[in-house]
Amino acid sequence: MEAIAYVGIDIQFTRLTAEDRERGLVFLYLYDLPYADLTAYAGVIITNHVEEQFLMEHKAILDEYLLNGGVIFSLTEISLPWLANVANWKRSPIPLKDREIIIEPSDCSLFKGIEPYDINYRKGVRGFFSRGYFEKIPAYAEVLITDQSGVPILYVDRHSTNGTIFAGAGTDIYKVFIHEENTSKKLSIQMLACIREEAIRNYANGGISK
Amino acid sequence: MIGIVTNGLPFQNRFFAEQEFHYLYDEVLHIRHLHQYDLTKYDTLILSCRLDIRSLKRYQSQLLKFMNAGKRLIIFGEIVDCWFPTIDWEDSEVNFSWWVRDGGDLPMEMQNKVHSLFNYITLRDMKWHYHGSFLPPQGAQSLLDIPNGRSLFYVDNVSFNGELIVTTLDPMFHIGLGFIDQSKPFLHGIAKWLREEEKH
Repeated sequence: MEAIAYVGIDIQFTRLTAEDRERGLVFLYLYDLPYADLTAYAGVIITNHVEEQFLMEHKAILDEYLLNGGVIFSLTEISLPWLANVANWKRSPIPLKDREIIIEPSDCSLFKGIEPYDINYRKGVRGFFSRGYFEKIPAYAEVLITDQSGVPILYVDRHSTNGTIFAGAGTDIYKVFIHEENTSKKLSIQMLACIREEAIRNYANGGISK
Repeated sequence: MIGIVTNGLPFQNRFFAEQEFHYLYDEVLHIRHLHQYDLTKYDTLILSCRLDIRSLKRYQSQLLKFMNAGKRLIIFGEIVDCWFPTIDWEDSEVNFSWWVRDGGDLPMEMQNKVHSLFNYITLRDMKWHYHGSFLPPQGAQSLLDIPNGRSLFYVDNVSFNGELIVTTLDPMFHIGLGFIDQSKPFLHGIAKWLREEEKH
């Protein structure tokens, strides 16, 4: 099983469990990024617990990784251009209690078998999936999640670089639903599987990342 | 002079963009460069919630020196790895859904109600959810307890030469993310109290 890096600062909410590690997730401390070789990973999850200015200073590392066919899954509410063609995060004007997260039809297996209700609500509370959206998306990107106003919340971009960028506007979809007792529980496993599928596809197309 | 420490996380950046909270602090310090600041010029230092633990450990002695110089340190959020002495933190499961259940409640009770902070903060302002709790040191004053007797918010004037204020609550996070209405009056209460304290 190829390892997947989980990037963040070190706080309680970025620490991995034994279950996470068994799934091949490896914590990559944000400030160690300049010393890491990202091609050692099938993919890189960048959490919302990152200092964007630091990522800007080390943007070249991410660009090179993507040039080599790498897979980056960003969960960051982005406000600086450190990830290729990802637009700024905007807070949704729709109140969280009224906002509906919609799964768009797609061949991508990320949300396969997941009921929309289960990512809209956790124990009756709405708003965990995302509190925002992207102002725009790159040409040819495939939108996977929107809200009722149609704005993009999560998309996959296989065209801006030689690699794959999944960009999500907010919540850590690896961790937030991991212990729910409904279909959303599958999201974390499917997220890792999707990253590995993309890595294999990109490798077959000539990338050097695994 | 009040300084506030940030890690430059997205929600922190948005919190600092909120004009209504600019009166809370005079200067913003970045945790990554804490060694470059002269902390002696601050009377109060606020550690925003969700700062990098490895950096906090790196600057532990600098922060202890600040405390022992008779200054005030306010720490928000989780205290993991015992990174600051005297703070006894225990994780707990987060009950974030009590308010959507019929008759639901999140039991907590104010303590030491004569403390001057309560001129600015109500129980409602502190009641949203919590990720853990503290056992305050002997002689420290808890301001908010949960039913098992542990504290969510306490003031310690006995362990150091200065004043340590600790709360599990994480208002900067919620203000930056734009949810949990109570987080704003809670932080305004602290800001108003700090500015009033400066006059004495």
